[in-house]
Amino acid sequence: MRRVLIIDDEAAIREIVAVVLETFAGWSVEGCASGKEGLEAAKANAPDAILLDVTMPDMDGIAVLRQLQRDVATTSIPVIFLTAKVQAADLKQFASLGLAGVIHKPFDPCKLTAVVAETLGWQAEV
Amino acid sequence: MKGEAPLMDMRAESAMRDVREKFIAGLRQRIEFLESVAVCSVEERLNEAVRRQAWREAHQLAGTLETFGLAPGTRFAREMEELLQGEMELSPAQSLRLSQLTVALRLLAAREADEQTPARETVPPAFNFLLYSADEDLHGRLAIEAAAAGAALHFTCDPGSAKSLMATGRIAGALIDLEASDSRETGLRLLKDLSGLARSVPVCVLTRRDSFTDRVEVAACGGKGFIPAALPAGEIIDVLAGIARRCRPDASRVLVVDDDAAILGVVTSILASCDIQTLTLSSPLQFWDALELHRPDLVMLDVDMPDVNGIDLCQVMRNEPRWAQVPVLFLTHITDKSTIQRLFASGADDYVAKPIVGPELVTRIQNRLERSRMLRDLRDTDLLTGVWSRRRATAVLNDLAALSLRLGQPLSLAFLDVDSLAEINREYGHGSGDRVLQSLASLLQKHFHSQDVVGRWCGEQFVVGMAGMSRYDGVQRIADVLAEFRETPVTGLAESGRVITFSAGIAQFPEDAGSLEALVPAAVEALSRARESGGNKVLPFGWKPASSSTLTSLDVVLVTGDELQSVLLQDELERRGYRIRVFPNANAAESLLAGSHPALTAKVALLDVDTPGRDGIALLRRLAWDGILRKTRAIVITSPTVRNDVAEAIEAGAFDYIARPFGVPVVINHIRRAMEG
Repeated sequence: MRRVLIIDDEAAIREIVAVVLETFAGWSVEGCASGKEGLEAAKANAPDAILLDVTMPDMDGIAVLRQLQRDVATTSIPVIFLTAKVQAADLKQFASLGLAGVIHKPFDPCKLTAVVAETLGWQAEV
Repeated sequence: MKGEAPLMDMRAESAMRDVREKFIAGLRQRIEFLESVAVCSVEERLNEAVRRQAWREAHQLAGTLETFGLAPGTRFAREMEELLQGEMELSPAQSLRLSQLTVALRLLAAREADEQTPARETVPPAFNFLLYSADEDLHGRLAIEAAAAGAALHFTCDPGSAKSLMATGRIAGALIDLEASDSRETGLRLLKDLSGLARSVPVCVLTRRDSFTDRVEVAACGGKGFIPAALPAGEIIDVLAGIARRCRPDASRVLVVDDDAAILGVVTSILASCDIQTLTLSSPLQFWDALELHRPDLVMLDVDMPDVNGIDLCQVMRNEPRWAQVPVLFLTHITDKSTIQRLFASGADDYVAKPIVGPELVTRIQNRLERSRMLRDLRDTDLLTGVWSRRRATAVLNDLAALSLRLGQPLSLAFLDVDSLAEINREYGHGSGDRVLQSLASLLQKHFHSQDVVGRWCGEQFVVGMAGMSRYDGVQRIADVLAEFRETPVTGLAESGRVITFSAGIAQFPEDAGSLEALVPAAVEALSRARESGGNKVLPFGWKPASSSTLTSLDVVLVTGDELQSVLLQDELERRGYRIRVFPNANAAESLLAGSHPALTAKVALLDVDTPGRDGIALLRRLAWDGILRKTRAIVITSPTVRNDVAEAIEAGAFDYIARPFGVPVVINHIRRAMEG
């Protein structure tokens, strides 16, 4: 079973992602509300993929991503940014970060599974 | 598994709805924060830290609102995010725009929250009860029991708030504490108001008094139950819940049995949207209890379950006459020919293939429910007269009998037969006979309320069940109907001048018979006596015919010189089954009633003060002297004369008195009180 970690300070986003990915795709989803927690969880559980919010207090998504990439335990985990940023400059910056992909918020919950699977090149299990 | 997809969709949908509701519930607070930021900005006192926080909030909202179906909200939040992004202070125009956006967002969120509320409430409420009382201690005791029974008890001592609670439509039953209200009249008025507000919601009274007149008064105000306050709190709640359940025939109940909790959840959420109450059961072993308890209108069974499978359950149901008519739908993921044949062979009405598809499930269930409702209405109502059919009346009488045992109150059963209906049919045609039956039925429906039962038993025979009434109470109520029936003209017969009457017999449960099955023949026997003695009579069970000349033990002796009065009273009393003898003068009465071994005994002696020969008071003194008044209660009839008759009579040993002028019902009430008291 695929295991996905979602790091987002917005509870509603964590919950909807979990509901959608668990019930539509049958994946197991773990949620973390901050970058710090997320890093610990990523290290401890080695998920198959990480969905990462960019705009968070304390530690933003870009800082979390750098840490993940620096740590041997987590460096190979594909990371998808989940972001409400829409400005061209931001998007251009994301392109150079070594991400598996970017999913824009707001997203359509019914299509999220397909988008994540496609971004990661996973076979849809639905 | 591919086939599971629609079911997964349904589960995801319900989970997503939960997440969404939580998100929307939390929106208000977030928007309030943004509003306060907009106000600061307009007043040019927005500091950097707050601006950054507001920007983040707007950013987050922009990223989530559309995900939860509020696409315009994302646009508003996005624009706010842009306004709050800059390091520079907002211009007055920008501040104004910011506040406009927050207002727009708030309206949007409020509309969304409003739309959610009714959706939540279509889930049939657990029993919500209303208690109107000033007794907080009582409230405390009942609230604990209500909670234990899975119900909520709303307490108020203000008639206004009782009415507005009732008007919410969420109350399943109301209880009015008549004595602990500020006055009995207030309580009765509230009873009338609440009963009028919602017809299908029973309003009961809690009382420490229990008399015939109280009961009739409560019934006349629309009360559906009369619950003694002395009962344990748990019993009171049980009785109320039982009455509430009986009064809610409209909400269809579906019992779903499946060992998969997810299926139960999906079915519940699908059916909640179309106003069907779902009762779920994950263990088939409790099936029988659940049937008895909830009496569902339809049953859905999973085919494969541990312990007992659905097919077995269906077969057992079909073997029990009570449940044989309840539609059964199977839930199955195996739809090959032989399985389906087995389902239908066990008595299934239909099946729904898993994974469940919402619209299909709803359509199939509603089809079944509609059909069975139609059949039930046909079976439950007598087509000619509109009263309940024998089948339905019997079912409700059984409920009332159980309730009466529980409350320790009597239940009286009356059988009514239109006198010489065959003759009417012969002489005036069957149409006229039918109109007579219809006229009697509508009269019975007018006189008896929802806590009573009125049904057509067969042919010209009606049955009336009167909760909480003794057989003598019953005789009085039915005799009132008889009096009105005689006066009611029937089309096609009124011209002939023919007076139409009925006979009735009344028996009391559990005194006259220990079960309903035995009570019916007892009441019918009393009815036969009424018919044999000429009809136009209402007789209690146990009444024995006798000619007045040979009878030595009477109910009433009437001693009066007033001939007209004696004829009227004798007729009315005999019609109610009283054994009565009239004496036109006191001397004749004295010779039979007085002495150490009187030839005649009576329970009540009705003595007119002004009788020819010896006057009533003198006769009374003689009876007292001979010790007769120890067994016979005397009621004197006085005239408005100068003499102090009443004081004299009471001193001489009279039980009661009646002053002229009086109506027949007054006399009957006094006689009853004397006989029972």
